[in-house]
Amino acid sequence: MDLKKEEGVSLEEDAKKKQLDSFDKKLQDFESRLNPSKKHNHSQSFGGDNDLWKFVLRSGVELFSAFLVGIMIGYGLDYWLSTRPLFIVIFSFLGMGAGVLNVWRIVKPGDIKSK
Amino acid sequence: MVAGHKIDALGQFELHEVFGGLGVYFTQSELMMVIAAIIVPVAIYFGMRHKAVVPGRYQSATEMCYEFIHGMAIGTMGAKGKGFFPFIFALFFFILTGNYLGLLPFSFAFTSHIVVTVTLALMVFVLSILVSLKNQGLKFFAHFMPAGAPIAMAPLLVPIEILSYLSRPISLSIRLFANMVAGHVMLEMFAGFTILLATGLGLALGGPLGILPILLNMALTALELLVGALQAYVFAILTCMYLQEAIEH
Repeated sequence: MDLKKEEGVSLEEDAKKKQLDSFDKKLQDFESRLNPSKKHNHSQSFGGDNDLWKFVLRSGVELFSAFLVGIMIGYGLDYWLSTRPLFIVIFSFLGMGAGVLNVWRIVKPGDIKSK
Repeated sequence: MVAGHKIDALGQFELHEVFGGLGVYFTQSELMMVIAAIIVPVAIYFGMRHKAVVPGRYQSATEMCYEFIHGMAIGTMGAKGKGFFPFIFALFFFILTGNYLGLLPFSFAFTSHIVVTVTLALMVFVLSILVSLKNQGLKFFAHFMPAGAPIAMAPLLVPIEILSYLSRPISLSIRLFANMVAGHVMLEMFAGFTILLATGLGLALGGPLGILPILLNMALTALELLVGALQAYVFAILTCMYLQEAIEH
């Protein structure tokens, strides 16, 4: 009776151990899958969001804000030098360029810090 | 059908004086900022008061908050950025508390005013410029000319780089401001639908139908809780990244 009991216990322990081992393996697999993407996120100097909708929202704001800065600087220069609409035209195009550059910084593959 | 009842979705962002006769124009926005600035240290003080080795629920939550921001700040800025951790921590929880305070009834979300978010963003921007100048000296200005680009392209590339740099505080502030305004306008719109349905269709028909916008508002409130945390996080992590650039280069 006792032997059988002991055998039963050890069998149970074995099963538990196997379960734990497989769980550990799964956890490691998951972490190894998670880590590269984590590293990838941190390497993006403009804030790594790989989710598509977050990216869409962010890039829209980036495009718009650079354009807005261009318009504001152009308007200010025109107001100061009374050359309207010379600088507002130039700087709105530069602002659009800067907006595209901002979005490029988000999507650019590889290390951005070495710009 | 809806005579006399209009949805005034933007009225909620108007400022009103709360303490008259003080000699200063003290609005509900400032009041909420003061409350947020008080809530955070008080919550942390009471969370850590017992300093238990085996923390209770409240202490655990406080420690988790600390570790979350600490991990984010050090993970992004590296060990050199340790000194900026208190700043990031304060910034994150000030914005987070502001976003969440705004969700309470009869309250006001001060982060829905662009003047507040621009001030926060400019603070970060000026700080990152100062840190850059301290760490890199005049070499900081060399970053506005991309390495390897022909000199002939400089008149085009340098203004674009400068504009891109200057757009940082704008994008940082617009993101937070726009998210908060959009969320609160949506909540107000759907809350208004309930009243419009009840008054327009009569209480017998409009009343039961008016439950639908309320259900939607419950879902939107949950979404706002997510957005409030997410925007505070985005603000904080972008601050970390700008400071990291300022430290590293």
